[in-house]
Amino acid sequence: MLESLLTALGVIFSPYHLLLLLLGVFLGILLGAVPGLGGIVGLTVVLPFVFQMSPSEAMVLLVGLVAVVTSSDSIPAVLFAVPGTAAAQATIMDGHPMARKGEAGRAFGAIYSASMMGGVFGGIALLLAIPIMRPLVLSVGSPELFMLGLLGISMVGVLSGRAPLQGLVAGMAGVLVSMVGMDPQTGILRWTFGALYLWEGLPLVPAVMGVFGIPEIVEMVIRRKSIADVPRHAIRGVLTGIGDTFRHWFLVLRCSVLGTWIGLIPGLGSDVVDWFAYGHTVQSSRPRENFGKGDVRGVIGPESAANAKLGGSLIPTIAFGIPGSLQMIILLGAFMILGLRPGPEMLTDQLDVTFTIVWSLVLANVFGTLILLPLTGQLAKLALVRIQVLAPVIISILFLASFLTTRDYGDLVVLIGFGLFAWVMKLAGWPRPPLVLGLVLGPVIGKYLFISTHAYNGFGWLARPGVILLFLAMVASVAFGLVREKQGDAAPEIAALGGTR
Amino acid sequence: MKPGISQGLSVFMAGLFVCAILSAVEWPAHSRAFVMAIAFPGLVLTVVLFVRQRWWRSMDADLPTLGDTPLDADVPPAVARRRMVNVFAWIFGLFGMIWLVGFEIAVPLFTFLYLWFQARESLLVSALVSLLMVALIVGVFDLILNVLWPKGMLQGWLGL
Repeated sequence: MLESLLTALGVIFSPYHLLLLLLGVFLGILLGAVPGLGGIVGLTVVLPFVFQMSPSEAMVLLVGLVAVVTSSDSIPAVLFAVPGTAAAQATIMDGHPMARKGEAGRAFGAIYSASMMGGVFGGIALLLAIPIMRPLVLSVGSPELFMLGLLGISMVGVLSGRAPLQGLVAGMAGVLVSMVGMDPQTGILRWTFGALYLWEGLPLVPAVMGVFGIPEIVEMVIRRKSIADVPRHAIRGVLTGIGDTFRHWFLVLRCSVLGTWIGLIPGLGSDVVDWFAYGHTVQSSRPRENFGKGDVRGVIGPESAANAKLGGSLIPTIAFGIPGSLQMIILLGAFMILGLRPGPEMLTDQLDVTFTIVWSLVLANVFGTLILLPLTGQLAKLALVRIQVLAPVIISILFLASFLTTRDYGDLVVLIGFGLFAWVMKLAGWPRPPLVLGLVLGPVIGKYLFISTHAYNGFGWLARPGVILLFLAMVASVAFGLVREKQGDAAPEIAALGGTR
Repeated sequence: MKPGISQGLSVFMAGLFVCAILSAVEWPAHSRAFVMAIAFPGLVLTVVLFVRQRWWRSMDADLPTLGDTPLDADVPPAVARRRMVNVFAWIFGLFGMIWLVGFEIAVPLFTFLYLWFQARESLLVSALVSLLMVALIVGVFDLILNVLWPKGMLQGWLGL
């Protein structure tokens, strides 16, 4: 095993492999930074080129590409409150307020270093999990997935700041709206109003862009100031950000474990990982009053989890051929094209390729950070450009990115509709993150509740050890938050992005 | 926080939950149960929220109000309202332009018009930023990603 590990390291450091890795990293950075593109688009673009490659060459390119998308997707999230991919939703919560305070450099420094650490952790987890993959993956069934969904919903309280009742209502409305479309279990069309576009449900990307992007750009245009209303010399702090990450190393570690674990579970979806990490960060941190106003811990947690997730999601893909996301499905397609068979073969005959994947993941995260860090200073200066110049560019990118979701004009209607609604929420002082959390977790809860009750012919699944454990975790999480409130710990102003600043 | 808007939003939410409940009544058990499990508690919470907002407003007194936001601090309400209408008009305008002439023309045109008329930027800046958007659409979306943008209605009418 050690020999294969070292052989794979030797392979990856050959000039051609290194070049392919850097090409993948460069493409990944570009695709992450442009909202609406992301790893799936990147993989589909690159896939035709891997036919002629050897398995190790192809894996270096593909893994290098997907590994860094979740690092650069924070650039538009921090600067414009527009997530580059779904994995950067929660980064907006504190990243954008940091940019507005003139701390974009610090935010990027923290994000890239946390992303790197999370990504490296994910790679190491993948390496260590190889011998014990099977029991890890099989321990999670649909009842546990349902409980995980509930655990996520329990974070609504944390994400609602000083308006918990409004947050709960918004979260429930989010779950309700997520039901739009054909019920996958019964085939009933729910609130589609005769529109074929709605059969698949409301697309998440334009909805999230509307909820966060539109109100922020509208507010900035009304204020007629640059994103960061500070003098030019204040745009510094990359090193401070890196220092912050090291100072909060335990948070990075916890969120990396969380991200890897969520990635490991097929079916939970990649959209939830950053919200879970953000919820955990807020719940476990003290003092909390600066969350939502630009607390650096609010970007460190989600970013480390988002990058660690890839290592976790590669585990079931490699070990069983069970892809946990669309990205993994495309990667699995590449496996087939290259003649690789996921399963025991990847841990015996093809162990070299598996280790090449591990090294690619680790090195791509390091290279990605090394490429992004020097750009940080220049990127942060974008926050000083007059908003009147940036506004048409941001609005256009919102439209372009939304349209790429399903390539239907309906995407634009969803963007504008959610944008208008979120603006009213902002004016009314209602927190917006619970609405998004409801949209993300609604389908997960509905689907796994149905499967669980049918598979167990009732509610016998409630007695499963994993379910009990997750239920206890949920109760502990809520109780922990309540105790802290009682102790006088100020409620975080998470709702800052919801307008109750 | 503006109490009027917040109360209006509560009423809207209550309406949403009521509509969901009424429309789900005839659905099969599973589809109905999930809707009811969310919409009923949602409706109850919304009613509680509305009552609280309407008659126990003092309980929300500790919540920061809209007056605390930099928006109101920086900009007089009338100006803020005018600018808000303005920016939403541009957003709807872009949607209309895309529908009429398609993305490839609408996006650069919108960028130029916004910068030239709304932002009152110089011709050079307006043209340069618009060209940047052309480069993004053609360079990234058209050439690299082979995105097929739908034609606008105008092109359809003219048979282009």
